[in-house]
Amino acid sequence: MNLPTSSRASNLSRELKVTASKSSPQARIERMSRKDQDLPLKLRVASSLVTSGYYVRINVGLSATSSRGLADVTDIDVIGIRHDVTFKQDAIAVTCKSGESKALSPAREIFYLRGVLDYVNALNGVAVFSRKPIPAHIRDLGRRLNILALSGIEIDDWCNSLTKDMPEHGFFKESDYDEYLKGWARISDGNLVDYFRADYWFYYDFRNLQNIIGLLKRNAPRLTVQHKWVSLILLDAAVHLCLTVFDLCRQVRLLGLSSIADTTTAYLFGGAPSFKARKDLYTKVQHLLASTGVLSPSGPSLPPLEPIYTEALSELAIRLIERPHAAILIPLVLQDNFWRVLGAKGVCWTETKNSLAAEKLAQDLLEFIKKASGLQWVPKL
Amino acid sequence: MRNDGVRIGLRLLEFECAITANIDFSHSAEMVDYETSRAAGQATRLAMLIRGQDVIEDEQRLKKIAALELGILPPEYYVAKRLLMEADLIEERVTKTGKKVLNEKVSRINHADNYQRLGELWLHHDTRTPKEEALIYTLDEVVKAPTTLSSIQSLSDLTKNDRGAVIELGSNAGLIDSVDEEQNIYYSPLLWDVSPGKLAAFLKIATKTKFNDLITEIMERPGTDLTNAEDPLIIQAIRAGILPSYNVVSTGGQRVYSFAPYTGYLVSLDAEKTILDKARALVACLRYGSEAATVTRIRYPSLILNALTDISRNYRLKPHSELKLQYGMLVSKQIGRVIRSSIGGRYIFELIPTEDNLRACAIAKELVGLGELMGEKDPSASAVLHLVNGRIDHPLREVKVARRKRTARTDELADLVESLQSV
Repeated sequence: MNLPTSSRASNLSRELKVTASKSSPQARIERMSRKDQDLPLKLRVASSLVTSGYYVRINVGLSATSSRGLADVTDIDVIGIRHDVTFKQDAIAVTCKSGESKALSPAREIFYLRGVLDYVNALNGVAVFSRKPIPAHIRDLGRRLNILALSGIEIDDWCNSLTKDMPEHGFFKESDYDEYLKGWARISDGNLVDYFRADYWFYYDFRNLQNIIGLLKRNAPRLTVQHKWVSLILLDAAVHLCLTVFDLCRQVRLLGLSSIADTTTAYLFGGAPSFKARKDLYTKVQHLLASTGVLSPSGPSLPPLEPIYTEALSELAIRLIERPHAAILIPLVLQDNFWRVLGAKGVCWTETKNSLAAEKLAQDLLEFIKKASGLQWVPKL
Repeated sequence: MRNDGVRIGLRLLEFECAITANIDFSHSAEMVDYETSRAAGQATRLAMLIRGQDVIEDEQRLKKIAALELGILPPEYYVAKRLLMEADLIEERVTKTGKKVLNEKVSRINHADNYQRLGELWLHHDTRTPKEEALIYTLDEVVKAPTTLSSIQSLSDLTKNDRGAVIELGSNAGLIDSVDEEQNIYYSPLLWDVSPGKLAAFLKIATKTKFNDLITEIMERPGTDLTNAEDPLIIQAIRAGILPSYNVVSTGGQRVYSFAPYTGYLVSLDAEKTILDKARALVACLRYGSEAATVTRIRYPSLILNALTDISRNYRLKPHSELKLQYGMLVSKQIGRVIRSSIGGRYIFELIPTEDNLRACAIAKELVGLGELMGEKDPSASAVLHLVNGRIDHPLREVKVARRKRTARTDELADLVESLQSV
């Protein structure tokens, strides 16, 4: 987690996009990865969390609104996300520090991490300092804020305890992660890169559904090649979308399965009241266009307000809701396939009805993305 | 109907169900002429059987269930499976450990989509014989309304012998039957929940065109208000029970809501007829609430049905003064009970959540959904704000252009809706 000092202005996501147009995304991403001194530690922790059933990402950007759009605030070094059978999220965030300078304050990091945890609705946090000792009173501070503070050899012990007697999966190897970043760099659309790096976590609600589909739709012509890097991007996008679909599933479950079609449509617009307002506006526009002759009875009609994939989304949601034990494994299935594409050994799944259904539901999700975004192909799991 | 995949798909399912149920020797030489339709019908039945499975890891077991429950023999199973794969309703997959499994892709919300895929497959296959084509088209005609066989083109195109064979098979399978031998009018006993005798008597006074017009009108809006009908044909149709009709009486007076006999479901069993009756009663009460209620009018009947089936609300509607009379019929049909509310003069309607009643609600929702209207209101303050701050500036520009009477292009309309969709 990089704490911006008060004297340094936050980076604007939009400014990054301007930079992107000047230098290629590849150069930018390579520069970013070279600067990251904490990367080996982050990869180690991330790899250990995978074994505990988390979908794990590193370097997740957090932003907030400014007058010029979204501005970078900070980032989460490692975040692990999993869901229970009611599609409720359980997240863990880890801050990794390899430095030993005096400026590095474990107390400040712990307080900062607590704020970040609240921001992403995560309960547990871990602060790891590979070369900075942690005094007892700072550990107690961690206890009070529900943050595990670890230092030096304790980090190894903790990681080893998480992976003890668990099969090796080979995720988060530095060379593979590098290749993953290079894969993203091959897509020239800076918007897509920035969206998954930071904007997604800012929105992190219903808006991500339409936004991800829209971004993939715009990039569909670039994603036609059946290549490794395209697979990586699509699998990465699929996991992000999956987390939002889980939120939809939760809403549908809470509001009643019988109204799934209505709930899905309303969810896409942020809930029933805002959907109704949007629908009223749509009707007004329709009347206005008709009364001014823009919309002629013999000419083309106004397309429906609901995105064309709404029904397919309901279908996907009902499949997930009807098999929650399998559904919550989808991010792990996609994560597994993602790292396999990069050459990892992968998780050794015991083939049960549940794991097979999870793979199948993950494929359903990819097929939904293909249909909704107009992609020519999606990876076969 | 000729190119309507959904209708074809439904007919194929009904055809196969009828053959399996009513034809003892369903593997006779005559049945060879119906091979394509039977295969498609079996595929449709298989699709319904596996719906909700997601993954079938033991195909051998599925084959046994298909043989036992649906009478589909193993060689027929392979043909049906191939059709389902062609329709993208199942797919074969090899797991990472090399195990072969089947992925089920049958739609759980849009049932029509499943029928459409298989119906279209049947339409695109050039292996079907004129006899099976004639039987499927004939079935679809008589399902809609009783009709003379001479008016069915595909049947007329057959030779006399083939025509006789098709009618005989249709009759033996219980798919078609004549109501009046002299007039040669046929109907489908499998799908019409009316008495053949009454139907025959009614058809003596009704011309085919007038009858078809009436049925079409009522099919478009299940639960059509025919309280003040003056047309003798309608009055006779209601009296004879050709149009199942329901009286609802409340503060807005008495109303009669009628339904078309055919609903798209197989209603051969008495239990299913009872559920259908309950569903229609529910729709009639909701129509009354929408059109004749004096205190509050129902704008979204489907929301009422959602509330009725919502366990978290104890299957109850909010208290209302009109409920006691308006939903009285539902009490007599044992769909629910009316409870006096603690608020004076108001009543609560509570669904009795039996399997039948919940299914009736689901069918009622589908019936209501066909003719549901979206309420229109003035844009709310926030919606007006969107127009003012130029968030949808593109359509506002287009309004200026519209003054020159240029009609919008498809892409412009699509852009406009995209702006309205943005979140």
